Amino acid sequence: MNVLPFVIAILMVLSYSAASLLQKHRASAHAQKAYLGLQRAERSFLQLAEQRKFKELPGDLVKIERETHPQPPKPRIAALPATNSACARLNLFPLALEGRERHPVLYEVAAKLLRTYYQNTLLRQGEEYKLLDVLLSAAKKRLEKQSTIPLETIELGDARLQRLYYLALKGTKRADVVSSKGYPPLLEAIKITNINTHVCLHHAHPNMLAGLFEPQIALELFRELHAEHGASIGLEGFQRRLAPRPPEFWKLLDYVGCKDEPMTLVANDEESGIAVQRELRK
Amino acid sequence: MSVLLVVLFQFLVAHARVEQTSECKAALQLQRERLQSRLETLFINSLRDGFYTDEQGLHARFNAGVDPDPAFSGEQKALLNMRGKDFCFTQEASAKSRTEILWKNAPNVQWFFFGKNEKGAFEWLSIWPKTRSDHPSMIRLTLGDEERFAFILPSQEPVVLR
Repeated sequence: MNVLPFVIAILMVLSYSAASLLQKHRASAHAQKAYLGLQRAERSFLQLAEQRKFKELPGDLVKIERETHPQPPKPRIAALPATNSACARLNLFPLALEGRERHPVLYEVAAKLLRTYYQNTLLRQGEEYKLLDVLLSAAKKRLEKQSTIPLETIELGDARLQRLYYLALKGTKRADVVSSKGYPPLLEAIKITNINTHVCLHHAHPNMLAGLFEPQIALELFRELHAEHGASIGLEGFQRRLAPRPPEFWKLLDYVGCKDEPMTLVANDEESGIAVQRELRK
Repeated sequence: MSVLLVVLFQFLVAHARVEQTSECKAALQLQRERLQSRLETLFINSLRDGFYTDEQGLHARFNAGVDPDPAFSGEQKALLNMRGKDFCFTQEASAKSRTEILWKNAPNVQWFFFGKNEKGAFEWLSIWPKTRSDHPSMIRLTLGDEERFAFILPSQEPVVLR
């Protein structure tokens, strides 16, 4: 009679220890998988970096001739860039230096970018202006000493906004503004530097195009910009496709395409889903 | 009944011992992995200047990316050295610093850098002077006699081996 509760108690102890053991094993396997994924991604990055570096080395390229069978030409589809290139970021330098009264169009473009990226995820309605004002005033104080301000080092002086700003700078692992999945890193969308650069549309990520124009046509514009014969839509092409905008807006953009090569490389490990993004050392 | 109890008790004791041992090994393995990934990130993101060794330890300037604390974001100075018995990674911002213990109770630290010597040939060097503007192609770290780590950096030029 008394044996049954005893056996049940023993079984409970055993099942509890088995469950805790299983939990530990799972946590350990998860950590191990993440580490191995990171290592594989790091190796991929090294390979990419070396391929890039070796292309720049002097010397003749040795080509191995292989027999090729003629195949019908396939339509070229431009691959989405991993990041928004440095040349395709919106420069807030004039805004930080001279204020929004002197650059109302740039101010509105920056606010629209923040709204499009973070409205429903990080920022409440109208908060994009507050974040932008605080960011610009913090940047202005530092412009007396520096001509280029790394965005990640700006202290906003407001704990809540600072946290939102940090999350915005980091962005989510996967971000697609067009289909409203995640949010892109602010670090790749804006910059503050005295080098007066326009936003290079040819190196812009579709998320950047979505922030500048209407998200619905961002992908279409991207494909057209990277069409087979290097199609250049040009100022007139953009003006024809998009809703009317003030002339100052069109002056912010570079339609020809700069020659800067993107310095950021992204290496992925598909098995673990880990991605490593690093700037190439100059 | 008593036999059953003894068997169960022995099983639980043996299980606890095995678990304790495996936990120690897992903690050691995690420590290794953390050190490897932390330093890999530091070396790959290190900037062109400010990479050298001196009597204090190994100094490097690197891009720390986005940190919750803006003072520790962006370009940072790092120092890798022994503090007491621990091998530490110290991030030095302008007004404050942050120290992380990478390896507890490390007997000693030795660095080896694979780079060009004065004659232009590649070899393993134990110091990397401040006057050099390049980076080594590989770095080896030895903690005591047992723990060895290796880090490969993006090559600045191909290493030609005979």
